[in-house]
Amino acid sequence: MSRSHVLSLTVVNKPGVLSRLIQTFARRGFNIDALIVSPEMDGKASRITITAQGSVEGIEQIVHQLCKLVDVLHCTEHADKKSIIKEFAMVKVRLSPENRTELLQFVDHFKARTVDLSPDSLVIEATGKTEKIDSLIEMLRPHGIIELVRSGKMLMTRGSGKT
Amino acid sequence: MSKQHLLSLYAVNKPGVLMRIFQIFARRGYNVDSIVASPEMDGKYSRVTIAAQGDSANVGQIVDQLSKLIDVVHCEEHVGGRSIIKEMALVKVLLAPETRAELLQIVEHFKGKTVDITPTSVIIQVDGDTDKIDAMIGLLRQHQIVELVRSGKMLMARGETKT
Repeated sequence: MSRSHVLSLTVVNKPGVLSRLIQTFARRGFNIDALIVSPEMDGKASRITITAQGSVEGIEQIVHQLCKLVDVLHCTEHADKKSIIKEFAMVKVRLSPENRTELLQFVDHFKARTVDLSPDSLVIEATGKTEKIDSLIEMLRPHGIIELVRSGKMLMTRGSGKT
Repeated sequence: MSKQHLLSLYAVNKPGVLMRIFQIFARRGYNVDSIVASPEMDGKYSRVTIAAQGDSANVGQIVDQLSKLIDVVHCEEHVGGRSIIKEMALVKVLLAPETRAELLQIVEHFKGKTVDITPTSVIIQVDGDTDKIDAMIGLLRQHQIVELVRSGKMLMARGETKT
């Protein structure tokens, strides 16, 4: 059964590591839906969160293969509910005097923020669960979305333990 | 001169495309600091924002090579000016009864949000400019950061034009 998986990795931060990681996915024909990479605190390691679509067995094999790479310090798949998953998005929407109030109401309702306002466009910044952002985008779609950037899922386990 | 460059790409969302993009960076010895890749509205295309460290003389070549890839629809380097650059971070910090008040003040000051609190730890969600997030992490460092996930830079042009 194909479903969406979230993997979190810690890797050494140097050129070429990422491309080896991505090769592991590409070789098995897995498409990566979202990918977040950013340096850890001291800059020597990177924290990576990958969202990929595929079968459960396939993902298990990929996790094993990733763990075997020299530069991968740590790799786990997150299936349980004991973690916080958040996403960040910026949406640019077409604005007209008639729909301005309605748009600002949406922004309010989703506890989002406006970061840029021009006479005919509006940039909205929203954070939260994937479903929340999906439904915000659904609401905005009829008004004409010009463009959209999403961060992809970011993940951290609850409590004081490390992810 | 080596400095950080910010590229924004629009690519077809299928297996192997990301890998080919990274290879171009790896081949030229560029280290990729952060990547944000996520599907655009209809899921057929991805929006990729890459922050990479390397020689400024080569960055034009990289942009040219990326643009030549069949699956890359659009590639551009962003140099200052008319764009909004935002980032989101989740930070897990150890909590003691004595430090709780101070921590929550820091969170409030940076307009962050606490998404999880246990007797010994707290997870803070914050979004904004890279500088703001750096400043917050600097302050939190005194309180023992357990772990940190950052989304990396996300970018959108101001006004109604497409990025």
